[in-house]
Amino acid sequence: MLTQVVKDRLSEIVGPKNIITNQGGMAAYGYDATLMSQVPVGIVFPRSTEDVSALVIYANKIGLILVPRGAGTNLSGGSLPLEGSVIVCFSRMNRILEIDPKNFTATVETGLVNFDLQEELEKFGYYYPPDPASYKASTLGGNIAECSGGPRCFKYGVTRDYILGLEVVLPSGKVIEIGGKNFKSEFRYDLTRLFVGSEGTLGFVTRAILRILPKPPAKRTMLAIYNKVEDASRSVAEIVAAGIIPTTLEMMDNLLINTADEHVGLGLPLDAGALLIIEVDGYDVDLDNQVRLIEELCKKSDVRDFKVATSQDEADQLWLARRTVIGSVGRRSPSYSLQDVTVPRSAFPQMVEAILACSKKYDLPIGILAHAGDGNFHPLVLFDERKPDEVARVHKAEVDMVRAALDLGGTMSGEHGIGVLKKEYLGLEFSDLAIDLFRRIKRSFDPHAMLNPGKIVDIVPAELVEKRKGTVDGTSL
Amino acid sequence: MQDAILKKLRSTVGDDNLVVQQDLMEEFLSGPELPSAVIFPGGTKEVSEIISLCNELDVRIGVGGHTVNTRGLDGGLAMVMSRMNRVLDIDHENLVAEVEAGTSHTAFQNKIAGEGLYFPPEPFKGSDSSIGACISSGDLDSMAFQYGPPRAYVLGFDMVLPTGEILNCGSKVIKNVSGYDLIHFVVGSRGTLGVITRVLLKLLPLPETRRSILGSFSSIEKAASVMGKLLDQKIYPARLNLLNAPVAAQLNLESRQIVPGHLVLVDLEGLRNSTIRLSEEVASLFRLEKAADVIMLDEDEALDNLGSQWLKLKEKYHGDVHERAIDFLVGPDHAPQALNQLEKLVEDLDSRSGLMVYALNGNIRVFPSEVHEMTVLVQEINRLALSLGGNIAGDLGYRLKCEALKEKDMWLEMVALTDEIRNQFDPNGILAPGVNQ
Repeated sequence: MLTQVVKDRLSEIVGPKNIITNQGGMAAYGYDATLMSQVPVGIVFPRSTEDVSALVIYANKIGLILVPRGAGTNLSGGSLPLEGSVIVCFSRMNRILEIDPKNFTATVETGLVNFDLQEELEKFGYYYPPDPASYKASTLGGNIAECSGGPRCFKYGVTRDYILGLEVVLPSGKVIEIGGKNFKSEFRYDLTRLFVGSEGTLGFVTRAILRILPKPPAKRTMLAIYNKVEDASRSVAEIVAAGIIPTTLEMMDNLLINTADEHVGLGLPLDAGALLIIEVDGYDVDLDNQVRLIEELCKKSDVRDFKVATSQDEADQLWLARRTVIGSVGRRSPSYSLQDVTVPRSAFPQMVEAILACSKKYDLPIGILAHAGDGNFHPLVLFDERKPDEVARVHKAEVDMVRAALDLGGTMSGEHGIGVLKKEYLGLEFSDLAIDLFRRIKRSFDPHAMLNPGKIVDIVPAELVEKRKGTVDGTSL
Repeated sequence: MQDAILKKLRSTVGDDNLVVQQDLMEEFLSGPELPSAVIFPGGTKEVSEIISLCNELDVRIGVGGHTVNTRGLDGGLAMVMSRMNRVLDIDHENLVAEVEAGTSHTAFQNKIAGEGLYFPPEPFKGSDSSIGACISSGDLDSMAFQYGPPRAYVLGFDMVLPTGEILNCGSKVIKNVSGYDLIHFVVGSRGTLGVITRVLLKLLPLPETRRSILGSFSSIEKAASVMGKLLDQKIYPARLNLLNAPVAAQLNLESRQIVPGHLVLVDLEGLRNSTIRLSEEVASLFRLEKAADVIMLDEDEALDNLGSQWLKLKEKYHGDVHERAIDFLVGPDHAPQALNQLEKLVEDLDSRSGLMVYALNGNIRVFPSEVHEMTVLVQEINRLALSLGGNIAGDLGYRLKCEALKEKDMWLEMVALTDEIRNQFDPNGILAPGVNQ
């Protein structure tokens, strides 16, 4: 618990309505989309950059740890509170400050939900390409902190590619603007790129200038059904080799076809080994050729059934199945663990094999969902978290999958981040030198480990340790 | 530099790969100061040994692809990467190439084009420079609206840190958020954080169809308004540039010379049907807007010639070579308005001073003739850019913006922060001493 003095001062900064310090209220902010949780000692909802800056300055003074939070859809524990920490929840800072379609930019506060921005942009005939599966809930600040991807990355890239500038409250409380509305506005170093994906460990991003694009004039959405996962993965290889750049190449395996169909009721063939959702966009005059070519390539790799959505409704149904598939596994088991391993596209079949091997070895059902064009897998390991032996097996399976991806020349995280969940595996992917550089970067920004400490890497905080002891009643830090 | 150091360096790279005679060094140096030697490493390990030694003995090092800027390098070491010029792997399945940093940018592009692949960023220095220079500068070219900046093509690298340690980052995956994003942060750091020796590059398939349309217009205002109309019609080409008459006159088209004037240059790259249709729309708009001349190029030879002519122009006007350049950005929508105002500040803009506009980046580059006082003009253009929500490019622009907005604290904070990052990588300050001095 925070001392009354601290509570009063925090309440003075953000306003009495924008602070929660009761246990029940706080528990609601102590989780994310992982299985971990921890109750914070307070939650504040800043209304402005000035509020955030004042919070950070005060936290500095008394040695309080601050943890940023958007919507809590995080998949690696990056927004989880630590013992004795105060959560800074950005949900009140959700204004769109400017949409400037003719200069291809939008300026937003970072608590804005991705989908809410998309809806506004739609009115201008524009969109913001990164749209992670969580986009109806997740905030742009969270997307920036994790460098979120989504299903359109193969053609359009990830969050990093759409951030032109940021306003950041540094761990000192000072506010800086980096980048700008235009390209080439960085000073000395491209700090914007360092903040994107830094999981709130280097500073709190309060505003962002995003690059937005005109909506493509036309789209075609296709559904390809296969008897075997291998056939689907051959199609992906053929399509890429033919020089086609689809926006989307999403794959689901048999298990997920079944749970998705139970959930959405599309009438998918339940005995199919895999399906691909393929989407191309561009000018209408080109797309029929593209679809024809893709169909030929899919046939070459033994597609069982190939359909082109004939209406927006049909396409939307397919996307609904894809976007809700993760939740749909709840019908099969009470818990799931979602992985994020990514391998070079050519190693796709080997990674599928490795996942199936894990499933067998640890006797756990694993559904395979993949952004196949990117080699980015989201294996869903199904289990029951009330059974400790299952949980232990899940963790072992996770490590096996991470190792398999790294052995295949990939990475343990394509778009979910490291947070606390994968911190212990960092040494499998990076040399001591690289990890030491991460620490040096953290120290350059946040030497006292004030902001979201213990995420990505640990550093020994300088000086403030003594102060921290006096902040929280009866809590040793 | 002591003989003992030179001896050690020589033993690392071999006698032939260390040059100490001033007349022989000149070819590899630019700038006023004089290093003690020019060294040509043959691999990452050699680079690491050289830098370790320099770090230990406090010898400053500057690095270049073919030539090294000698600023801050008096008595130090110039490292030229030209021996490290191998394309190690072209991986069609993953659309990735692995190249050594000294590889010639255009040679690499030509090589992969032969295999149907494309690396869109243009060489940093116009007609040619190294892949390492492209990444080290991170410079945006006029096709960035469609293809993104060089950073978008960097998937990983080996980099020798200023301490001599070898950092390996990234892999053949296009999505990677593991750890802090050193992979992309390093792009554009101008060689201050380490020496990249090997790099994994993302490739694209070659576009199915290319076309270029050139329109010659009687005034800059007219040319600018035509560009605005293209955007209003939702035509976003791969390249949409304006070259004023003095610059355009230097383009030497093999097909036939275009009637002199201010030139709008449109490149389209994409799928066949839409590219052809768009090229016709562009050409008819040019005619409708009373272009003095319109040329459409659709054959490879003519397009390649135009491409190399464009790079030659860039070489003359760009990079660190042109001393009288002011580079600013206002966004695509404000570019026509900015040009109108610019013509009032630079009265000979349609006859003597040079002008290049990258319309889709909203980027205007002006090369004022000798009659203009540069320091005054920079301030005036800064005001002009700020009034349109833009800024002068890069470090200078950031400083001027902070000055104009009376944000001295922010400026000082950024200086301290970036100094600290550099210090964390290069505690002894040996690398790229000419940058940020």
